[in-house]
Order: sequence, then structure tokens, then C-alpha cells
Amino acid sequence: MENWLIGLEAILSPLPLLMLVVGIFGGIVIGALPGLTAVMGVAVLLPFTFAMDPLPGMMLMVGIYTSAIYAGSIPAILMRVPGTPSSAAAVLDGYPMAKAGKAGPALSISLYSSFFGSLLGGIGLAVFAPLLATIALKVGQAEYFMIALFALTIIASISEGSLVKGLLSGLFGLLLATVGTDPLVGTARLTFGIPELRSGLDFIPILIGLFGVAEAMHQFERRFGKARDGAKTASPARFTLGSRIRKRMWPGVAMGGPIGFLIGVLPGTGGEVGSFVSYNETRRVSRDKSQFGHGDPRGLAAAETGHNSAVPGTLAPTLTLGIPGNSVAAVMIGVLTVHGLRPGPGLFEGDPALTYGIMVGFLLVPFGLLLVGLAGIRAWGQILRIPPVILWPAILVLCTVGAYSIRSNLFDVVVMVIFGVVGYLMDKVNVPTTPLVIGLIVGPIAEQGFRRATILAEGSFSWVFQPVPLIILLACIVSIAVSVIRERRHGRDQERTDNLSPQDRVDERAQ
Amino acid sequence: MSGPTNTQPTRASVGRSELILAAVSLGVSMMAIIGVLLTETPSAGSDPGPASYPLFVAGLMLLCSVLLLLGRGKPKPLTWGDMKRVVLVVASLFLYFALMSLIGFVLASIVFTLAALLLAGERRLLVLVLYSIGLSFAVYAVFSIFLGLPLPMGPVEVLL
Repeated sequence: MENWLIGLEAILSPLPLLMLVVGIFGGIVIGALPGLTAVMGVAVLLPFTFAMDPLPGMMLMVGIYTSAIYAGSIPAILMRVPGTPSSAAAVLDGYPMAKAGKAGPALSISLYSSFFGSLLGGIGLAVFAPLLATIALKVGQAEYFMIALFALTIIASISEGSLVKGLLSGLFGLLLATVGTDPLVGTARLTFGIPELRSGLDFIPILIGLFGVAEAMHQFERRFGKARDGAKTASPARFTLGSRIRKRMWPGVAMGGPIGFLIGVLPGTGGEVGSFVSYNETRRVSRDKSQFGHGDPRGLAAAETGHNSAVPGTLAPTLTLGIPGNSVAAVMIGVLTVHGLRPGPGLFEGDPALTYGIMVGFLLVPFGLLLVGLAGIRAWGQILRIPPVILWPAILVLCTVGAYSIRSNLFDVVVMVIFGVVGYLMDKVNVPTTPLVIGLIVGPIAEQGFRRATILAEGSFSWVFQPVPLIILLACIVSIAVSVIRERRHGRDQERTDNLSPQDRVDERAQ
Repeated sequence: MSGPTNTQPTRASVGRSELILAAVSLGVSMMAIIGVLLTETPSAGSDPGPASYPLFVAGLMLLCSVLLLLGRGKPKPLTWGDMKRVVLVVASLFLYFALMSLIGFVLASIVFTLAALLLAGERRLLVLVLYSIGLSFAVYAVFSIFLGLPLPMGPVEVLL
């Protein structure tokens, strides 16, 4: 109980609160602009936190993260273009509602769902994280290795592109994490004679490159085109929720809250999965499914609630185990590591002001979001008018500054640009970049687990067969198997439809 | 019910992008394996050594690369937009990095922003000049003065 008071006291001071508000505003801009993702926003703005204490820095990130996830639904509803990739599920029922002239209620539902989602998620985090932290103390080296592996298989299996590509990406991340000096023995590894590599690859420039620079490159390539013009911006007419619509919202909220949070807690998964699974499950248990996909408020509510409750969920494994719940959480780890802090049970014990402060922050941010959202709903349409010609050069400058200011090292800028190209090429061949990031972050955890477990087992690998590691290993295998089966089935369906003659296709549809 | 009327093979061949990807990842894993085997590995009792884990990871990468070659499924077609622009953007970024060490952050940023704006299609002289200078100074002000983070020094910074 007293930890909560310590956390509350730490938060209720000017700088953390200010950063929270700044983050909320910044996040809404980032979320509402298609092309800017939450990950990118957090990565590019991460260096702003270097000059401040970890708690205000984290509050900035929490504000950005939460409100960007909410704001991504705004263009999704108005223009059928998700502002951030994970807002895709909001399009399903949000856009039909807007087309039917109900853009105002749709935006309201999205705002309220986001409010409830992030609040429910914040409560979940507050309950769950301290429990997880105490369990985390009992997590041994072998378990850490297995959990890291598990996180990678999960993220690889749900990412865009095939499982193999996801695994390649994750393994590449693990490999990159080994560049530098061996943690236990101190010998140089994979430095290929380049002195700057002796201290290893800092993951922040890589992050900024993969998400910031790469996206900028795509934008320049496409000449900033897309659904910007053409799709009419539906003007939001009414902003109060009719009570009829409000009643219909609740099933979506009730399902989305817990589902989204639990999915967020799973290492490797986050908002996108949370929102789609919440949507699907809500649809499944509804008696009248006809309106789903055509403007059912429950669908929008479920998607947005699930989306937002996953956000605090992703911080649960991140703060307690140091294993990021998704790539945004991974970036947030950077706020801590820059100050020499390591997330994990030690942090919970040693710095309750920080950890409990963060959790209090997650409970406060929904209210801030609601206020800002209600006040500004009319204004959000204007954000979409920032000319990309002005925006993207500025983003590149910010990326460069950010990469440099981590270690005052120009080499990091080179790393950023190189990984910008790498990220760009990976996107081209449909290799997901998130596993790479996760691999990069859990790499050291995985390796230490691997080495230390072997040392403790006196040189043998028998630790793999201990009960808990073995169970986790089986979970890895199961998730890979499920993914392979799903891919096979999808591939077979795809080939079947490709091989049908046009008449067959008509017949099929008629059935 | 009519059977399939076209004669597409039921097993999709591996796309070209997959081949390139497989080649690259094979190359990377081989490079890693060789690189790791070349590092000195002082034997330290029950510690499997600094080479063990990278070998494990690189080995798995190798496996995945091979799996990629054996893969099935429809490859997504590679689409290319304005590649000249992309290459120029990357070149500008490298130039930015080089200039920063020579003439300091502000001047380098002005040059880079100018280049980026031109690449983005901006042609209005007023915007080009004002925005480049304005953005560079603004970012410098926020990062260096307000946040106190060090940025590469050059003639302008010394004056400020």
C-alpha cells in the first residue's frame, strides 16, 4: 500500500504531470496522422527524455503511447485510413458509420471506448504487475531464456508475412545483440575490426532507423500520395452520444477490456492483436451479427477498447521481466536504460517511486485523454492538413538529432541510416521489423540465461529439460506449429480460389 | 461442378524477392558463424563460451534461410515507386552526417533540410529558405539549449 503512496506522490509533481499532458497532445498528432506510427513517435521523441529523470520521461512516453493508439482511430473512421497500423480494426465498423452520416457518434464511441479501455488496462496493470514482479523473482536463468524465445515465436507468428520471415527477423535481432563485447568473458565479438562496434550496437539508433527513417523513405518514394485526397473528410456533426448508441456500446467495452489487456500482457503481442481479437470475440458472442462490418457500434467499441486496454498490458512483462510486450514497450525500455536502470523485479523493489508512479500514470492518463479528446474532437480534422512536404524533412532531422544525442556519437547516426535502409528493404520483401526489435532487446536476456543456466548445470544442457523451461519450450513449439498449420490452410484456400474459373467463383459465392 | 479450368501448378514457385532474401540471410548467418569462430574463446570451465550462443542463433538463421528456399505460397510482388528520390534521401542523410562533423549541427541541418525539402517537391524559395533556417535553429534551441543535450559544434554554435 505504501508503495502506491510513494508512486502517487512521485507523480503528483509538476514535471511528470506536464510531460503526461505534453505526451497526450503529441500522441494525438502522431496517432491522427497516417504515416506516423505510435512506435515511430515514441522512438523519435525518446531522445527528448534523456535530459529528464526517468519518471517524467516515462510519463511522456505513456501519454504519447496511449493517445496515439486512441487517435489512430480518427482517420480510420473519417477516411478509412488507420492513423497508426494497429487502428485497422476501427475501420471495420467506424468507417461505415461515418459514411452513414454518423461520424460524430462514431468518434464519440471511439473516445469513450479508448477511455474505458485504457482505464481498465491501467487497473489490470496495477493489479497484475506487482504480482508478476514477485513471481519474477523466482524466474530462473533457464526460464528467462525460454520466455525470450517464446516472445519471439509469438511475435514471429502473428506478424505480417510468413512465420519463417518473422523468425528470420527475430533471429537477426538476437544476432545483432551479440555484436560487441561478450557479457561474461569480455572478448570482442563480431566487431570485424571496427572499433566503434566494441561497445555494441545501441538499440535506439536502430529503432529510430527501422521505424522513423524507413517510414520516411517509404513516404518519399510514394511522393506522400495515398488516401489523402479523394476520400471526403466527413464533418463530425454531433458529438454527444445518443443514449441508444451508448447502450449498444457496452458489450464491446465489456469484452474488449479484459481481452485486450490479457493479449497485451503476452510478450510480443499488443494493440493490433488486442483490437482484432476483441472485435472477433464480441462478434462471436453477439446474437445479431448482421451489422458487424457495416457500422455496428459494438464492433467499434470492442476494437477500440481492446486496442487501448492492451497498452498498459504491454507494460506488464516489460516492467516486471524486462521482456517487452511489443515494440512500443521496447522503446520505452530505452527511457530506463539510458539512465542506467534495468526493468525487472529489482526495479520494483529498488525504485517504487518510479514503478508505482508509472502505474499511477497509466490510471491518470485515460482521464487526461478524455478531457483532451472531448475538447478537441472538432480540431482533429485540422491536424490531417499538415503538409507532408513540411513534415517529413522535419521528422528526418529529429531522427538524426535523436540518434546522435544518445551517446553524442556520430557513429550512431550512421547506424540509424543503415538500419533505415535495412528497415525499408525489409518492408519491401515483407519481412516484419518488430521481431528484429524484440530480438535485439531480449537478446542479452536470452544469452545470459543460456550461458548462466549452462554454467549452473555445470556445462550440460540439462536445464532445458527442467519442468518450467520445458513447458515454455513446448509452448514455443506449439505456437510455431499452430502458425504453420494456419499458413498451410491459408495457402491452400488461396490456391484453391486462384485455380477456380470465373464461373466457379460465382458459383462459390452463390452458395 | 466443373473442375479447375486453368493449368496453374498447385505449388507456387518461390518468388524472386524470397530468393534474394534467402541469399542475404544465408550470407549474414555464414558471416556471423565465420566471424564468431574466429574470435578467441578462452575456455572457462562450464561456460559454453562467447561463441556458443551466436553460433546457436546463426545456425537457426541458416535453417530458416533454407526453409525460405523450400517455401511455398504466393510471393507478394515487389513494387517500386520513385526510387531515385529514395536513394537521394539516403545520400542526403549520409551527407548530413558528414557535414555535421565538419561544420556543426545548425549549418549541416540547414543544408540537409534544404535538400529534403527539394526532394519532397517544395519549390517556393521563401519556404525553402525560411523553413530550413527556422527548423534548424528551432531544433538546436530545443535540444541543446532547452534540454541541454550536446550537439556537434561548428562556427554557428560557437557564436550562440
